[in-house]
Amino acid sequence: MDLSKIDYWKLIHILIGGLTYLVGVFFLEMLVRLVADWIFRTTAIYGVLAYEEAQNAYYIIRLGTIYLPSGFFGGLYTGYKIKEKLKLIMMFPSITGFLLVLIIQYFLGYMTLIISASLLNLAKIIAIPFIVSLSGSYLGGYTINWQVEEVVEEKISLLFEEVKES
Amino acid sequence: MITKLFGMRLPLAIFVLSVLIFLAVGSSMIYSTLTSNLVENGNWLHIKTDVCELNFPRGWYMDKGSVGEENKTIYIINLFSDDFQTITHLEFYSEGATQDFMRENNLTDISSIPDFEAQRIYNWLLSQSENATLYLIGEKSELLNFVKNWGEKHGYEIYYLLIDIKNAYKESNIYYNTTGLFISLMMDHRLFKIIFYGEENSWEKNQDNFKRILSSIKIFEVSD
Repeated sequence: MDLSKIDYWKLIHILIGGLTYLVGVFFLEMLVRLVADWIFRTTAIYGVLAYEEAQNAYYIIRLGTIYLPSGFFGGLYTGYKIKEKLKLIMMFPSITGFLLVLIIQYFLGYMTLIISASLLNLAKIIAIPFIVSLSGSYLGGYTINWQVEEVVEEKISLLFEEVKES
Repeated sequence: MITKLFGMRLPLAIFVLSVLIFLAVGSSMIYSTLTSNLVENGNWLHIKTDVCELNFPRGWYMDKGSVGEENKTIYIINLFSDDFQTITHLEFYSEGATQDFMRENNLTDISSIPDFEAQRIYNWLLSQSENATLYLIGEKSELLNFVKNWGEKHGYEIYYLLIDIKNAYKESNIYYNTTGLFISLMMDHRLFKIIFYGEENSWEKNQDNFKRILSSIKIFEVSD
């Protein structure tokens, strides 16, 4: 592999995209917890979390309000900085960010829980949040580049028309 | 090709819709769970666990789980009052776990368990607050009579102890007192412990809730 052909700026932007994801996860985790706590206390329904169905429901809410937006923001930054090969590039902010989250959780002592978890729990803790984050990343990357692709297509079709006329 | 949806770029619209769908699905699941388990005018929840079923106030937080090996398990239920200042702690021991507990703590009779548990909490508080002082509350307490009647009604051999701990802990330079009720009973060689403990005023306020929880408890057969 020829190292001189690697665009290091792209790697840096992907890393920053991953860091954006990481910051998003921690910030949104805190925010969602505060809001949920406030709602449960105000409506006096804290007891509902004793039920597995409600715990699953809270998990679904966390997927949509933490992992999906964090992936989206990571993809938004990376897509803004890197315009080409989006289908390939957009997976990396989520991979980078998710790995950073796991590393930090390891140092905070949460990895023992993950290691001893069953297959289903591993899917809930790792696989599903990762897939949701990845989806968010692609949505973010394509959101910022959506208009650009339209303009490029229009320019290309205009060029073809001019060539035909001449 | 669709380039915009609801005036937004398509991927952005998909993102916003996805977030809303996650929120809607989660919220409706919570609502459905809540409404299907409400009892007693909608202020209490009914739950069936692995070892018992009971009612508890819907604003209280419940935590449950088990510890121990296959034949020596202790099933634990914690109920925190809405101000999180009082806890109702339930422990259900399997036969093997009961024997281990009695042996490890040099206890020969379950009548000594309430005193043992009260002393354990007091010793821990003493390590945090050297001004903590333990007082026993006598038989004339209405709550103790209630517990005694509850035990008799269910045919349990029940032992209990009610204590006050002055200057139990300090927060923002203010000392707080705590009150604790410790109950132990044996069913088919299996130990069952109940602790109702908390900050003095919160404990007082939640006494009626505790009585209703206690009245609602139905214990299942616990398999080893």
